[in-house]
Amino acid sequence: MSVRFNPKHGPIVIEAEVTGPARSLTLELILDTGATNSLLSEAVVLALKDVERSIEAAVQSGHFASADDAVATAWPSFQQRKQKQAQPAKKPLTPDELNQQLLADGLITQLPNPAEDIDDDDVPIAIKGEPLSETIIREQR
Amino acid sequence: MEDILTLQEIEARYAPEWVLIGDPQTDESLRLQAGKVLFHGSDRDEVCRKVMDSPPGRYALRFLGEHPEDVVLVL
Repeated sequence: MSVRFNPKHGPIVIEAEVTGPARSLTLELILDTGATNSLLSEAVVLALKDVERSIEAAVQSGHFASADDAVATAWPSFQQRKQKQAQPAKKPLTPDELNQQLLADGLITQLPNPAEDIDDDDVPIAIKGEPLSETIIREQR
Repeated sequence: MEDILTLQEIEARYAPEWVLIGDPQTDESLRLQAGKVLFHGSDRDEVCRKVMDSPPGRYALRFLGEHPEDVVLVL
């Protein structure tokens, strides 16, 4: 097969037929001249498959004892996915709820007590010379 | 949508959508010449799902729109 293309134009598009267990699809594919693999979108690959035939092939290749065995193996995963989809989206935690959750999970040992943070008897210390912040900035340089 | 149409007729009727074509007629280089339009739409995945619903056989999938010129494809 040969396809004419103009190297000054965009991607080189070729027509190809992809055959799966149940169907074949003629598709337009973009040629990647440096590739050793061909990429197809998941939707296209799924379209080529036929679930019943795929199960049959898996049984014949020894992955499952029977079609029932294949379904029984896949069923828990399906149920799990279904349950996950059915769960309502979780409401974000408030800061207090988050603290309680962290405490319950043992990630922190105690919660800060805001009442203890009030230091009424603290007296500001007068500093002579330049403001402390300017000293800090100068010494960081 | 069960008539056999040439690719030019399909393009004239359904561009710029995705089309699922049944009984595709192709030349020796697999270039699509004609077929029956079974489904068309702007969502490729929806068209692919229609392939899954279709009986086993041979189909063609075509995008009839134009790729934007300012898009770069990284392969």
